[in-house]
Amino acid sequence: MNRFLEALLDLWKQSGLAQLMNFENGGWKNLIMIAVACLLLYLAIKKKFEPLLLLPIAFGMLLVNLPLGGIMDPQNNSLVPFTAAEQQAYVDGTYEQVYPVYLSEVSVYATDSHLETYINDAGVEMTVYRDGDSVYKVHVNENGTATVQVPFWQHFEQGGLLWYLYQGVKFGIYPPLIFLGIGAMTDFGPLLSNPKSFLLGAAAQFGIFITYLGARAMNLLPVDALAFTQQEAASIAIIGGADGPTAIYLTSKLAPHLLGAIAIAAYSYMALVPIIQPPIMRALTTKKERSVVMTQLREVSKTEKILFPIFVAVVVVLLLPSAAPLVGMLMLGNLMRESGVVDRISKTAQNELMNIVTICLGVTVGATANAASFLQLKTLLIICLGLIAFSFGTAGGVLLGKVMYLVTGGKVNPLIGAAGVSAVPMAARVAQKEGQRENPSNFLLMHAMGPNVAGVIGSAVAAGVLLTLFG
Amino acid sequence: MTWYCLAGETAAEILTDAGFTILIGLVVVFSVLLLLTTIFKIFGMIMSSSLKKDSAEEVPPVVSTPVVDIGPMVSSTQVRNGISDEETAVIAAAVAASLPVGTAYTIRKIDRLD
Repeated sequence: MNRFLEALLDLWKQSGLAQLMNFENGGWKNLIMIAVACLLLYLAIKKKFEPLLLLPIAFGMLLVNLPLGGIMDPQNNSLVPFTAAEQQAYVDGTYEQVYPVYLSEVSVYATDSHLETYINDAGVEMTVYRDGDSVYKVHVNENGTATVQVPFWQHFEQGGLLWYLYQGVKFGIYPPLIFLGIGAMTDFGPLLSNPKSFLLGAAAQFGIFITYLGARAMNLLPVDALAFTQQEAASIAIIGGADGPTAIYLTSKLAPHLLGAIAIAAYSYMALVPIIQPPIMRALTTKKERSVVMTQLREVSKTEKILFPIFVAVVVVLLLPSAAPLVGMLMLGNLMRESGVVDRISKTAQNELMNIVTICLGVTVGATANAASFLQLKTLLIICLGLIAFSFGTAGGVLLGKVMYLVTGGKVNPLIGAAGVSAVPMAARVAQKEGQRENPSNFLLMHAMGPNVAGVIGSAVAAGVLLTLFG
Repeated sequence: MTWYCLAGETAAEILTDAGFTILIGLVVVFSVLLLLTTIFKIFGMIMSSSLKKDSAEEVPPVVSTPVVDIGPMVSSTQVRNGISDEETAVIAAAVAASLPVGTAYTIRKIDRLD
């Protein structure tokens, strides 16, 4: 009976539940993270906050915070030195290799007293280096030295499933693939029919750079826990681009330890665009400006649409090579769409590929949010700075919109500038709704789509700048 | 007053770094997108002029400002006949795209056929 109870007790001690209940050992942190994951799941399912990404992110966060699950454990590779018996077998040529063997070479003088002549089991005469029980193969050189070969075998411990999938984030593979899908889904026609929209997409990146200043200014506070390095500040700032894949791409390169917090902040704020943007848009514009009815967009030919991705890719990659993975894939996707000759792969990029990558990206980014990295004062600060980034980005776009309103004699509705923060198509829809509040017969949606898709290019360019400066 | 900073960084260095980043970031982003604006503006002008030449004989000139009017609306979030404002906007834009440039039109009614 005692043995049975001991076995049960052992099982309990080895369970994740016991680890979770071990508050002295930090189990409470995991409980908090599980609660945060459940909150995000609620927001994704019930409130429909960017559910396509927030749901897998939240579930990844849940899985990684269940103790002993090991789903995000890294693969463990280590080199193990041979035992004396293995060394002897290796010299004799009878060693049965199971794992990969690596040789480390050490030089000694050919006159070293450890060197001796040896005849192995196969009757081959050779020079070996003997050190106690250990014996090593030796290659005698012509210059009076000898090279001793010290063998190791590679110990391999398999990692968790999500750790392998995470390599797609770590090596910057998933975000450009998402961009491929976005490119294949995006109609750049509204931007082409009104190229001035590019400038609104640029102005909305203002939030990124202001937030960089804000994050770096934290270093002036007498609290070490709130200090950010240049790389961390740049990663936080990119939240202002309102572009999830760009934020993940840049953060994975510059500050991978902040990936969970930044991704969650970025996607949460994107979902909150209809709440964050309108007060800023109303505060910065007059009723008259918001009522402006814009003229009909000109028709864009197929030739223009086909040439657009080629031109953009060439110009941006030549000027800013670090933006090549994002802009290159975005434009490839768009070319596949507009060319009309590769419908099959265009549809795959828009649907199957996009969905698969979204699952892998979401769940693995969520899995980086473990208790140790997420439950920090910095996470709260990242969330606050993210809000600042979004707000300044919106303000930057609207303010340039006002300048355009003045320059064009009232032909541009400044509200469309707010759509320059990307967050496609949510930000354009917000501009449409705000325009209609003032003038119900005003339809700004297609006009706002121009800055909106320009914002995608703008944030990729901004990410390229930050990567060049701090990468 | 002495500013507290991370090891190896003074307050002046931090602010200079941030200022430099803002300046270079905005200059590069604006330059790249301004270049793209110029390229596609010129390209658009070329394409428009060639299109005008092609369709000059077929399309009569229109001078009035095109405004989409679907009648009075009470609220911007209103849904009429099962069609939301957003859907109306998309339909209006599609109609605009299908008509020759500069054509004035009024959408008076949209019905859902199901």
